[in-house]
Amino acid sequence: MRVSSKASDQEPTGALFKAGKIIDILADNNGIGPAEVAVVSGIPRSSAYRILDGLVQVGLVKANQDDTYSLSLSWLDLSDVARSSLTEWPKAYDLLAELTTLTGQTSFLTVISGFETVCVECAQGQSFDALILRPGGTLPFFAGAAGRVCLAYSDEQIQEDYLQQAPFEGYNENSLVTSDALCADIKQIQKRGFAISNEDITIGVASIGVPIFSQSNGRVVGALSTGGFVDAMMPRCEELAGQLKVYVNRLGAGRPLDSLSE
Amino acid sequence: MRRGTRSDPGHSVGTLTKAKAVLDALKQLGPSRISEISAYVHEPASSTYRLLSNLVTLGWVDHGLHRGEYRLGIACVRIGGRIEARLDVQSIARHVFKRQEGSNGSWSLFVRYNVRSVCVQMTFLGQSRLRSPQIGYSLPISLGAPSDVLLAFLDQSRFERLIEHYRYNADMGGLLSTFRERSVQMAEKVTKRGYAYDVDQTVPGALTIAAPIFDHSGHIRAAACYSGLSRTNKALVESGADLCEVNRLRQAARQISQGLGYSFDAREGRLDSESEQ
Repeated sequence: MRVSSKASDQEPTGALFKAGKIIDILADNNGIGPAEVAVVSGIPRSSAYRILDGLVQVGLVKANQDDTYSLSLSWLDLSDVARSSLTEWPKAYDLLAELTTLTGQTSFLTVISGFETVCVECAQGQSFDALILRPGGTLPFFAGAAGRVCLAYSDEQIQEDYLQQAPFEGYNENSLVTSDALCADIKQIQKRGFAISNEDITIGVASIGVPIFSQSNGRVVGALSTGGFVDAMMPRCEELAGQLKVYVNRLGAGRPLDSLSE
Repeated sequence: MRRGTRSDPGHSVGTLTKAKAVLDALKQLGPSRISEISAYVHEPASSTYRLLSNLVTLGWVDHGLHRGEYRLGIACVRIGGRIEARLDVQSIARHVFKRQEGSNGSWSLFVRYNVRSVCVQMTFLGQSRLRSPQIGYSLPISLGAPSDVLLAFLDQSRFERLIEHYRYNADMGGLLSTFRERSVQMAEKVTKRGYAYDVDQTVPGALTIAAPIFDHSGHIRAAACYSGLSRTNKALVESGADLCEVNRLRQAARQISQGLGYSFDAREGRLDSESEQ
């Protein structure tokens, strides 16, 4: 399930590799010109033009009237089908909705992709409008309960590879951005069994997250988390973490050893 | 015939075309094995396998839950999420409304917030002196053309929950017992007709028509409204006559929906069959 930062030992063929880079650039920068794409990607300009035209021809990119390029809306359909193809956790939405009814807070199911977590399902609670995570939304490993709990339970090599990129650009003064801060956080999360995000992304918002595991190899593949206004969340950390662990087991995504011992 | 090289422009487009075909296959078939995918895209299994390996490296495709299976990858979710986060119904609507040359009224956008419809965008065109509805103006969900549209196109379970929520929160007096039935009847009319109208409710003294705006998942996202028709048009609007203002509004709503990624091709049959009943 997990897509590591390097999913295979082989690079894709030239055209696909460049297309992947260009798509990632357009995902972060809407409506930019080919010259800028070439500079940011490091791809020669002639290749950038050729690949962009090719992506337009196949409908993955659209050419705007001002000669800039944007991602095509056809990615939205691909995204929807990709989400519905995650059949590891049938009835995930029903369970999340039940959890939200129980806690009153928004629940999220996120999956690891590279060094990020991607939200694939959520059930809205009281403070949904304040939360930045939506289905399709991503959070880096250094921020948020989902991201940090996934980092804490990842293999040591993955942690090391990730922390080599520190310091990160934080969301605010509460974000943990240095390697030392994140190492200490990892130890704390492993000891506690869950992560607490206390306004490290959005001021006024807190979240609690627990890991979910692949049942085939026991590795962390994502997180189940709940988020809301900090005053409502912080006094209930232990209680909410307990609820999350119950629902992880109901999803069938507890650590294989833990679920056997129950 | 000279075989294309990897630096050949035609080779790049060919590779991307095949990659897109595989993505479309997985979109259509769901999680599938190589044999199913290669049959769908009419390519040999060996080249399909090579392509799938490359797409897995990109993250556009992932290995499926079952051995030998492939499915659309998490990177697609991430990319779709980035696009969706940028889609702004207000700016799309503003752009579409400004293009309504020749019309002579006010164009507005309403969204639902709890049990009210709220105006979040208004553009006035032509010689009209009408400056209603103002941004921030709101109606209860039981009143006005925008409310009728925002309620009528909700899925069944959300419709029922909203009706219940509204009934127990609003001081409805003698209307309480009949509210649900009236809402269901109105929703049937609006979904069949494809738009709603009111006189004197959204804008005093004027007839307002409203049409639905959908997001890429087909969920009702907002209501596009046009205010400025004379009340004398009420009978024509009620009968579903071919009024140019109604057609123009519905077309504008479609354009805004398409801007949000809604595809009318796949759903045209459903919408057309409802309007023919």
